[in-house]
Amino acid sequence: MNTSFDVHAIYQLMHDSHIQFSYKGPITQDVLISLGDTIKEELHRDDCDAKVIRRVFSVLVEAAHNILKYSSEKTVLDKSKTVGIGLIGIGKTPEGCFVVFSGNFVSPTEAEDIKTRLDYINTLSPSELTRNYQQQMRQGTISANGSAGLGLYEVARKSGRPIDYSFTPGPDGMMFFEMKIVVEVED
Amino acid sequence: MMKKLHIEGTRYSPRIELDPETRTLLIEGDSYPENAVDVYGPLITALDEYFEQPNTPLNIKMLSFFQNTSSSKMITDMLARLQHFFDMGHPVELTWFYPSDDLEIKDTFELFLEDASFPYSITQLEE
Repeated sequence: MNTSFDVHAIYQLMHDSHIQFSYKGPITQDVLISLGDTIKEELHRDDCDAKVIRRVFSVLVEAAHNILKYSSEKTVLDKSKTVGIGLIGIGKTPEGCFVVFSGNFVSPTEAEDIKTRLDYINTLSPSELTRNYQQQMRQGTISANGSAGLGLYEVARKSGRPIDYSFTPGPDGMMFFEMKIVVEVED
Repeated sequence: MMKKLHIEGTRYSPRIELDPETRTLLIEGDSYPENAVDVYGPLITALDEYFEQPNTPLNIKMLSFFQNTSSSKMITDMLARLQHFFDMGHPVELTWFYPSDDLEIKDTFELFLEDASFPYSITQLEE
């Protein structure tokens, strides 16, 4: 391992960006559970409304499962189960809203697909969003890996504003996909 | 008669019990597995077997407040199956509990049951 990196700089960046916590690595179901527990506890301690805690958790779950299933960077766990590697975390905006953020590499084809879907979702009003979500829920099919094509809709519904995302070209022709999802504290 | 179906709950998936003797189905616990097909697939298969005899009643109790989208999809498919069995003459009824005063969860459950014509109630769980 290269030890020339600057831990203080990482700390300072997280501190200055109001990041409460962040994790990078294989996103397993166990990691998701402990992240979920940590954030639930922390939000509970801050006297956050149960509704807000659930919204944040819901967005966290969908973002984590996106990485687990679609990250192009993968690792094999025991029992030969493959999981995606990525970065996920929670921060706060200056207005006191929560931000769930995620970042992972995807293939260019996957990037194109995600972009098309997010651009479409970002044009929808809240009522159109619910209608589309319902339609996909009733008429869509679920794939063998458990994807129902609903994750990004759910994230948008819980966020109530356009999803902030970007793609940055990375090594080996892969694209780094990052997403910042703001969860409002008030209705 | 079919055997009782028992699926153990985990931190992220509900306990499921389909009992042909008591004619009940219980789904209890939050649901956010990576792949909900693993959790609800066996239940949907078991329901097909459960309703093989005509006029089989089923009383469903759901005590599950949180679902990820994969689970929501499987629950929607399960409810559509139950509607199908109800239409075929099986007396199906469902109670879905929500935590007291949490109207957002109540609204979510109402959306799930929008198309259902079998008897159901969305009931506040007393603390």
